[in-house]
Order: sequence, then C-alpha cells, then structure tokens
Amino acid sequence: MNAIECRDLTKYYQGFTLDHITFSLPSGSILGLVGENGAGKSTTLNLLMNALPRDGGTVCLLGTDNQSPEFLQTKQDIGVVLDEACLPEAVTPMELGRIMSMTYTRWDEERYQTYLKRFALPRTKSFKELSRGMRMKLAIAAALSHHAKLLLLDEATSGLDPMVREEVLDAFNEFTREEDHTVVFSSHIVSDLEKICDYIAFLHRGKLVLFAEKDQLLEEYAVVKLSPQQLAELDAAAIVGKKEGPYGAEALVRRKQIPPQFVAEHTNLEDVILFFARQKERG
Amino acid sequence: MTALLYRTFAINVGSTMPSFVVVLLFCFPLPFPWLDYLSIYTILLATLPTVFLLQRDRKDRWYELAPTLPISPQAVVGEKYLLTGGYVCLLPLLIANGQQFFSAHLAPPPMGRTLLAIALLLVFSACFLFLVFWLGPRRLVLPYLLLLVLFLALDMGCGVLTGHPLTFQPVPPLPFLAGAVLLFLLSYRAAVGRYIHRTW
Repeated sequence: MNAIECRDLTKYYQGFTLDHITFSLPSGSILGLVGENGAGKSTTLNLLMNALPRDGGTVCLLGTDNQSPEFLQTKQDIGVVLDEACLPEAVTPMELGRIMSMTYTRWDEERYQTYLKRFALPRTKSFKELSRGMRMKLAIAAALSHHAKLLLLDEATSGLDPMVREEVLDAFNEFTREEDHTVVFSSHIVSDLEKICDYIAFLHRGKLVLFAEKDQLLEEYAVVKLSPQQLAELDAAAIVGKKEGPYGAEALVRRKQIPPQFVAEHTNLEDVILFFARQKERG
Repeated sequence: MTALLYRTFAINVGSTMPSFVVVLLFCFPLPFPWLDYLSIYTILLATLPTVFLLQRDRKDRWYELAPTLPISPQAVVGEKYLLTGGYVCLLPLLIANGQQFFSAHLAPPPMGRTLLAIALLLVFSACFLFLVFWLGPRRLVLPYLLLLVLFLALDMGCGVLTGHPLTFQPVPPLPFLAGAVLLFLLSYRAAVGRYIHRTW
C-alpha cells in the first residue's frame, strides 16, 4: 500500500500557485521534500494534513481520503512536526505529555520519557525557555511517542547545529526500521536528505520538478566539467542543466550519454538539485 | 475535549487565569450595582477573558497545530464556546449573589434582570465568536470593539427611547434567555462550518 497518494494537488494564493502536485509514496520509505524558500514545501505538507483547504486534487494518507470523516481516526497514526514546533509557549514537557496522552489513544508515556532523557530535555522548563534545538527535539519526541505510522516533518532540522541534526536523523532512521513506517521530511538542507531519504521530491516555485528514488538519481546523472568547445560538442538532449563560466563549464548530464573522453565528477544530491533548479530558472 | 480543556488550563494557569479569578473576586464583594444596567463594564468583565484566551492561542499558533492533531473541528471550536458560555453565565450570577451577601444596604438585582444580562452576554458572545472563526483570530480585536460599540449604542438607545437600559426592559426574561441560548448554539454550528472552510 502507498502511504501517500497525491493527485493534482493544487492551491492558489495571490502571486503563488501550488500547481498540480502528483506523486505516490510507498509505505516504509523516507521522502525528502526539497526546494528553495517559498517553493511550497510547507504548503504541501499542510495540504496533505488538510490543515489548509485545497483548491483541487485528491490526497490519500494511509489509504484514507484526507477530507473524509474517517481521516480524524487516521490522524492517530500520523505524527506531525511543524516548523518552529508550534507548541504552546507556557507548557512544560511533562504537561505536553499529559496533553498528548489525552489526545492520542496509543500514547506511550514510557517511550516519551525515554526520548526526553535521550534528547536531554528538561522536564519542567516551559517551551518558551527552551532553545530552538530543544524545542524541535521536544516536538519530535512527542511525534515519535504515539506509535505513528507516518511522520510529516516540516523543516525539522533547519537551524539546528550538526550534533543535534545527527541525533534527530538517527531517531528518524530508527523509526523507519519498521516496515510500514513512512517519513516525509521537508528541508532545504540537501545533505540531511541525502543521508536518510529513499525518494526525493524537488519543488520549485510551486511545481514538482522531480520525483525519483535518490539512488536512481545519483546513478542516472553526473556532473561533468567541460571546456566551452567540449560543451558545444555534447548532445544538448543529454544536458539537464549547466553552469558556464569564463574558464569552462559544468553540466549535469545523463551518465549513459556521457562520451567516453569526458570524466564524470563525484556527484552528490545537492549538485543534482542545483542543476535542475538552474535549468528551471532558465525555462 | 478533555485534552483541549487541560491544554487551555495548562497554558493559561500562570497568565490569563489569574485575571479570571481577580475579576471574580473584584465583582463579588464590591457594593457596586454592576447589573443594574448593562454597562460596558459588565460586557468587558464577562468577555475579556475569552479575548485573552484567543490571543494566547494566536500567539501559540494553535490554529496551525490543531488541524494536525486527531481533534475534530467541532471540538476545537466547541471548547471556546463552552468556556465562554460557562463564564458569561456564571459571572452575572456571582455578581448578583455577591451583592446579596456583601452589599446588604443595596437590594440585589431581581433574578429576571440577572437572566436578561446573561441572555445579552450570550448574544454578544455568539456574535463575537462567530466573527472570530469566520475572520480568523488575527482580526479578533476589531469585531470585539465594533460589537462593544453596538451593544453600548443599543443600551443607550433603549435608555433614550424607553427610559430604561437594556436589562431593565419589561420583557419576560426566560423566553429571551432561551432565544439567546438557541442563538449561541446556532452560532456554534455556523462557526464550525466557517472554521472547516476557513481561508485564514
């Protein structure tokens, strides 16, 4: 079963349109939703949860239409972490645990306490007194403590220092060890996504430019450094994106179409995304 | 609903809640004829706590978090109606009883006048909460002020036309109260619909 099925998801704002987003995410996988600021990542996640009314399309999470009455029950299986956590300023982690235990039928207090200990979160400090990293860890601890099957995380690691990001990514990796556990993780820190994601969705100005398996992307494309003459020799259809400078050029090229005399550079996900974005900018 | 009420209690116990208690303690013993006319003071005392709760929710971005939780829209809206309805019903009764106990030299207001005051406060709250869930909590101040001015104008208008303020009108209080309760409930239904299809 697909954890998420999204067809022609559309939302209109003045000056911005989330334009017919379509993808299906198999259960048990991690999707990295990447894009520049204002690309529509948060809007997409909010539409998936029906936190915003959509203007078109359909969304099914864990087999349930997110506008059906049954979706209220399905939310018991979904953990959400919003950007900046959005938890009440005055509550402490202990009070948050009590609120969540009354909200989620499968709330696991023991697991929550384990996460509080693991993330070194003070139990009696109010939310507003916590640092940004602690706030996100608290929100993540709450999202991981009710036996959710699907996690939706909006910029959960943005603004966190590398050590905290590593801790948090480890927690997500552990979550997905269960076969039917799925994570959607939006971020503009591509290196985080490259570490843990199975699928990558690249949003650019409200359009889904790319949805593919991460490993397949890295196998299919490579960056090649070229002189202007070599660039001219290359088949234009093989070039996804290019960056030209006074002394040469770099191009993202389909590996199968790289001539043998050219050398493919080590290519990471960030390179692929940047070149796709550059190509989109040029139209 | 229990989770929502506990949440409201937990986040307000150190801030807004003392203001509720101070208001009650202030009104209870003071020999001031609060209910002898539906003045701006009575409306403010009865409805400002709701304004504080809504402002706190806005600051906490509660209406961004709430849709991600397994809480129905009916519960999200209903919690505010429950708290508001309870408070606007309780406060006039406490004021009237307080006057009876602590202001022996002042005759307490007749029960009819107290019930009429509750009815008018319910009407005010029904209009206010509906506007909040229609326009969004960012715009709650303007509807509140406009309603305040409207009710004050009605009160003064009644005084000019009939010689008596709103709560002195010779209307049977129970049918009026029943009508106000019905309006409050209808406002709740409408507010849920606006919340579900919100554009804010």
